[in-house]
Amino acid sequence: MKIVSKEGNELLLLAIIEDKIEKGDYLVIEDSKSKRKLVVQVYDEEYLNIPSLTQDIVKDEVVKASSREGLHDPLNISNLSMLVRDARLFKCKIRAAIDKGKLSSSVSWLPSRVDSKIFKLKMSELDTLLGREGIFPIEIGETSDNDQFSIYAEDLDGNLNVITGKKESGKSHLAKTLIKKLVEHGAFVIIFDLNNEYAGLAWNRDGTPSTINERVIMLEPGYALKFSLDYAAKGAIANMLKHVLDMPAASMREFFRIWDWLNAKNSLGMERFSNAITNWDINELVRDALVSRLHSMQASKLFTDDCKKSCRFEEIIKQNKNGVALVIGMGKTSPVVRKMTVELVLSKLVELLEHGSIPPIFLFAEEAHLYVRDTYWEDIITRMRHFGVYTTFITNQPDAIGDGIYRQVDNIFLFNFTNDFDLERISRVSVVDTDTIKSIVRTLPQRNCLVIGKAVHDLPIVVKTAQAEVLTLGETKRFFKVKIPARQKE
Amino acid sequence: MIDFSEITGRFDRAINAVLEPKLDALVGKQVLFSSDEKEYSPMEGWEPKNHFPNINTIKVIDEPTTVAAIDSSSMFIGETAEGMIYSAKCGLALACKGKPVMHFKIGPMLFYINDDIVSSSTIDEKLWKFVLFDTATAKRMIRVRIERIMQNEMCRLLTNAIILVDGSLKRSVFEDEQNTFNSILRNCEANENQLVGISKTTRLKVLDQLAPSLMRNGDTCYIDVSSIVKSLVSNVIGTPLLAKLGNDGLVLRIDVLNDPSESLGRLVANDVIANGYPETLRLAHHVSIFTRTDVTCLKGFILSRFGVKEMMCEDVRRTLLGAFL
Repeated sequence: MKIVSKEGNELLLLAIIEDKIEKGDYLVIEDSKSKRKLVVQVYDEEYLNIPSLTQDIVKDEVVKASSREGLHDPLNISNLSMLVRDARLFKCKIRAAIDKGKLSSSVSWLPSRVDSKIFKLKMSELDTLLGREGIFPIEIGETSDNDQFSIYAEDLDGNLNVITGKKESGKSHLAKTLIKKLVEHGAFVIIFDLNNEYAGLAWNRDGTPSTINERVIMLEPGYALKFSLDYAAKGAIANMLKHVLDMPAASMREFFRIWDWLNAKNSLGMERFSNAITNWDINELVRDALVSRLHSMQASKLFTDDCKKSCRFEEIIKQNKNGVALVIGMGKTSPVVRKMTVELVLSKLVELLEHGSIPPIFLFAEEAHLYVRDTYWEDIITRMRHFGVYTTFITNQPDAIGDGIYRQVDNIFLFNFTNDFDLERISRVSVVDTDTIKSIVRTLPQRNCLVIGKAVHDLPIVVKTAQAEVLTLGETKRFFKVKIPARQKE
Repeated sequence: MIDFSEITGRFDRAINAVLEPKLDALVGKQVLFSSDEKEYSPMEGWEPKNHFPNINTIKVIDEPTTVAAIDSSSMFIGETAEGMIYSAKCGLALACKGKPVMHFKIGPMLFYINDDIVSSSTIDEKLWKFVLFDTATAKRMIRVRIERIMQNEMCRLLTNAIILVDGSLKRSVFEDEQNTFNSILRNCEANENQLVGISKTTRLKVLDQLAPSLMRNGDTCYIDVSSIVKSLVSNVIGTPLLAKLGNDGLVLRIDVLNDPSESLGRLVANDVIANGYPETLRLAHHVSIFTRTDVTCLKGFILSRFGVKEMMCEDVRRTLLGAFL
């Protein structure tokens, strides 16, 4: 390979002989005279495109199409000609320089076109240069060299992460791998499961119990996930009433007067609340408002008067000191109950964290825009982060997440997107340049992702994510899939 | 002081004495402008000065006959202190019953011409010296020799075939002893092959004046121009013709060895004629010409195979005359 040109932080390299280099690979350009090295990343490749070459190809094809060809080429020049036709240009971005065995940002020098040697940088070598190490590895897949690639649980700890890509690109597989490893490392993970697919974390693909089988707890709203009013507490209920059930301020005031009255009598409960509203001396419109909200709460089955049936996060965590995955399965719940659940859970978690009742937790939220109100986003990524809720958003709609959130994201796991609008959106807010995102992400195969952010020390790396070891649930039910085996039998 | 007007006056008189401009004679004439010094033909031909009566119609002889067309090209690749490096390519295309059969690409081949070759050659030493120092002559010598070999081989291999060559039929001083034009003629006769030379353009301007008569004729036709050509050029072999091989094609100079009617009749029946030019000869031309990629690869081959050192070069004219050249 040879350097052809440099423009800005972009280098154009010419490769004549077939090198096994793919988009996303890192190369080292070693200037043997100045003894300096540059680290560049291939973000695009194209044919050497000179008009005469195109003319030759067209002419050859026309001639070959006109009659059968015989060739006597004593010097084998045609082979060389084929090499030239297959010559490729690699577009690379300069990422860093290597200075005394360490990466540095001093890239303001120009490597020699004549004296530079160019070779592929193995991911293991890049890791050494980056000094990327940790105690709790999470193996997420392989690099293009077929080397195992791991990030570290510490890279997710205290950080905001986004897993995004188009439908069926492998987002959920990666999320499941991350969750499983986090739990194996003893972390506490809460998953807002929109398709009831994370229950499979308890089982391997072959049906045997997974390593975290005992530590996966399914909490379905209305069933295992119920709260007593007492446990939910005033703050969480207030948030739910205000943001999900749209209760007006006047009605809210009456609601909490009743709440305080019942609480003082130590008889806080749904049944008693209902009776109290009926007998309370209030405006009839306010009474109607309270009754309708209470009916919504009762219909959600999220509340119980039986304290023993109330879900207590701190208790669950206490009983699973080695880590636990709390899967809040919302696949069968209505949109309103879903929102009520999320509001209650998040409010309760913040309260528990504020009081130091639980350790920091990792939150995985799939398609969060469907159940998290707009103003809550900022809260999740700023306030909750300080209390110890470290969120990973999983979405196939990058535009569902606001720019303000993207700008605070620490790690992005970017799967394939072909839509220009989506790519534009991501590239605008990512720390990586637009060219890299657009070119690499557009051609990523299924289950390959571009990792960007702290986990890779801000050097984007393409990883072929491993197939999740756990059982895959939540696959789309298909009509014809049922019919095909029947036909085959015939 | 120099009287500039006196100098220019004397200059004008001297020029008129040796090269009379005669611009008055241009008035009202048809003109065909040249571009980049290329010679063109008028699309509808020149207005005929004199009618040429003996136009013969080409009658298609619908008998299967192999048509073999040969063409070659040579190129100056580089030089050393002692000699010149050339490359050559040759193309051969075959057709029969109006369909292309096959084509062969031969080359590129490399030749290094230096003093050693001169001393070991049977050609006249003065001519070799000329080859050694003049690239155009050397290229011509290479082409002639390669084409003669191919023509001879085809004449030996094929029977009752038409062998098409690019250009007129004439002997060359560059032929080698084994593959002279005479030996080609002998082999043609022995195997009953018909040698046909087709020229895309002619330097004999007088022939251009005859072309309109053929162009206005609706059929494929030819006229015998032996008397005109042989009065201007010696060393002509066979019968020179002006022929139109396609109804709407261009008029070409064609040299035939045998009966023109039979040679041309078989040719139009067995080759594909587009724009009045045989497709085999067009194909042979296309496979024999050098592409830029060929040249790049040849240079790369020389550098890698022979351990030569590439030297920096400069364009002397550009250096001396400036970048606006």
